[in-house]
Amino acid sequence: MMHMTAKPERAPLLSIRGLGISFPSIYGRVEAVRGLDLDVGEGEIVGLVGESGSGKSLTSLAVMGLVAQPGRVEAGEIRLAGRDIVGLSPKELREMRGRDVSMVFQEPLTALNPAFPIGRQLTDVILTHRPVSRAEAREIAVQALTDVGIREPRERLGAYPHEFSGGMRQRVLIATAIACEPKLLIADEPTTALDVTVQAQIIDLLRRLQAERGLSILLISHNLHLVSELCERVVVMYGGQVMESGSAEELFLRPRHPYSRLLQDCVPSLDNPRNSRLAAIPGAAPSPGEISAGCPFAPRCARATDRCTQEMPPLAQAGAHKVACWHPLSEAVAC
Amino acid sequence: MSVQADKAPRRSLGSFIASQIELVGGWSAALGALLIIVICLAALLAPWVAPFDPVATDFRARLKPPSWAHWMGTDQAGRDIMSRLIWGARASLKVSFGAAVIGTLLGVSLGLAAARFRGGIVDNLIMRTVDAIASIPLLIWAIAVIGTIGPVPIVLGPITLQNEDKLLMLIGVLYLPMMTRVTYTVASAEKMADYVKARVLQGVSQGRIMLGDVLPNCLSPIIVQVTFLIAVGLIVEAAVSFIGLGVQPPRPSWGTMLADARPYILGPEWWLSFFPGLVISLTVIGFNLLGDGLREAADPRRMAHGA
Repeated sequence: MMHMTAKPERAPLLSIRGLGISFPSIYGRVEAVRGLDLDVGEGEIVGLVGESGSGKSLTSLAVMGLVAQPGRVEAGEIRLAGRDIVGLSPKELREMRGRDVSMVFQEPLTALNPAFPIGRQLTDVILTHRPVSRAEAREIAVQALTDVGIREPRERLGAYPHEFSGGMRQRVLIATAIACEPKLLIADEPTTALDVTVQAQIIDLLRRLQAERGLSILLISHNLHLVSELCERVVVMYGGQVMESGSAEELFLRPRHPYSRLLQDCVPSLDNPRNSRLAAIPGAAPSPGEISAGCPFAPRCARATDRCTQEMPPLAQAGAHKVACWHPLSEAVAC
Repeated sequence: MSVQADKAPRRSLGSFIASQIELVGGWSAALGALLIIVICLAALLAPWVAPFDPVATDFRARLKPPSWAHWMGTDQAGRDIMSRLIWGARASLKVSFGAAVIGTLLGVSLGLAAARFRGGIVDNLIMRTVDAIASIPLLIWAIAVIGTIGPVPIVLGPITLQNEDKLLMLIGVLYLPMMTRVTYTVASAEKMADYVKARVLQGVSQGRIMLGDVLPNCLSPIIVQVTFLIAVGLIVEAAVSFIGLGVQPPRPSWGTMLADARPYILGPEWWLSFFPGLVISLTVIGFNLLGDGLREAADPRRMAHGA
C-alpha cells in the first residue's frame, strides 16, 4: 500500500475527467459513458476491462476524437499531454491521430490495404505526419519493422499483406502505429483474433515497446489474463462507469467490487475441479437505456440493497483501490 | 547459388503465352483480346493496309460481289467495302473509346464523391441525377440530343467539332449512370473495410483515403465495366449513324455503311450489309469476351485457388 501512493508522481500523459458520451435513442439521449475518470501516466500500461457494451471501446474512440455521429461527447475533458482534445477542429484531430496517439484494433487480417505492399502503407503514414523525405521514411519504416520483430524488414517492405500470417500482420499494424513515435498507443483487443502462442508474442512485444520506447499503452480488453499479464494499473468499467480501479496485482488478488470478483470467477482455471461448472455472471449487461439512477450493476449483484438501486456510489478510496460500491468486499478476501 | 540460377529452365515462348492467356482470364478472353488487337491495328494502319481509297468512287465497278480484286465486294458507288470498313473502324473506335474514357473519368469521380459523402446531400444529388439520366434509354437520349442540336459540325474558335466528336461526348455523359453506380456500389462497400478505419486512425483525410486506398481496390470491377461500355459505344455509334445522325457521309463508319446498305437488304447484294454487320458483331463480341474474362480473372474466389 505504501508503494502504491508513490505512483501519481508521474505526470499523467492522458487524463480523462468526467467524460460523458451520449447517443439519441427512443428513451431520449442516453449516456453510454458517464462521469468517467481515467489517467494513463508516461510509460505506463493501463488496462481497461469490461464486458461488451460497457463503454470501453467508446472511451478509446473519444480519445482518438472519433465518436461517430449521432454520438456526442457531452461533458468532461480529455487531456493528452496537457492539451484538451474535446474542442479540437477536425484538422487538428487528424494531425493528432497517428502522431500523438495511435491505435491498433482486433482485426489484423483486414486492417491493411490489400492493394499495396506494406512498405508503402508504412511510409505513407510516416510522410503524413513527419517532415521527412521518402528515403528517410523508408529507413524509419525499416526501424519500426525491426522493433516489432519482423525479420529481414528491408526485404519485407515489398511484400503484400496476404503474404503475412495473422500474427505478423498484427506486428505490421503495430509498426505502423508506432512509426510516428506517438506517446500513447491504444490497443483495443489486440490479441483477440490471434491464436494463443501468437497472443503471448504480441504481449511480449507490447511490453518491450513500453520498456524500450517509453510508450504509454491503454489496453482495452475483456481478457483478464491478458490485462493482469501486461498492465500495472487496471480500470474496471460497467455500464459506462468506472466500478473499480487499482494496481493490477491488488485488483486481482483482492478485488473489492462484487463485479470485479465475478469477472474473475468467470476465468477458467487449472486449480478448479475438472467437473465444476464455469461460473457466469447471472443476467445480461444493461443496455444504456435501462440504466437508472443507482448502480448499473445492482440488478445482477448478490449484495445489492435498496440503496444500490437508488443512488450511485461514488468512486472512493478503499485501501489500495478506488471502488464505487456501497457494499465492497472486505480486503481479506483472497482468490 | 549462381550455378542454380544458370540451370533454371528458361521459360519457353509457349509457356509465356499460356501465362498471358491465364492472366486475362482464359482462352475466350484471349480470343476477344486478339479480335480487338487485330481491329485496332487495322484502324491505326488504315493508310497502309486498306487496298483502296475508301471514298474513291468507281461507277464501272458498282455493286460487285466479293472477288480477288475486292475481297468484300463494292457498294452502290463502286467503293471498296473492305477499305471502307478499315477506315470506318477509325471513326467507330474513336467514338466508342473516347466515350468510354469520358464516361469513366466522370463516372468514377462522381461515384467516389457520392460514396465519400454517403447519405448526405452530395450523395443524393449525384445519385438522383444519375437515376434521372438512366430513366431514359441511352439510345433514345443520343437520338434525341443529336436530333435537336443537328448533325452539322460546330465551330468553336479554332476547334471544329465534327458530329462524331459531339456523339463521343454525348455518349460519354450518357455512360454516367453505369459507371457512377458501379463505382458507388464498390466504393461504398470498400469504405466499410477495416483498412479504411485503420487509415482514419492514422490521421489520413477522407479525400486521400478515397483516392489512395479505396479507388485502387475498386479498379477491377471498373476495368471490367469499361470493356462493356466500349462494346455499348460501338452499337450506339452504329445505330445513330444508321439513322443518319452519326458520322456524316462520305466519311465511312460501320453504322453509315449499314445505313447505305439498307435499300439493298432484300436484294441479292448480301455483302453490303453482311460485312459491316459481321465486323460490328465481332468487335462487340471481342470486348464482351475480354470483359467476361477480366471479370473472372479479378474474382477473388478464383484468385484464392490459383497462384
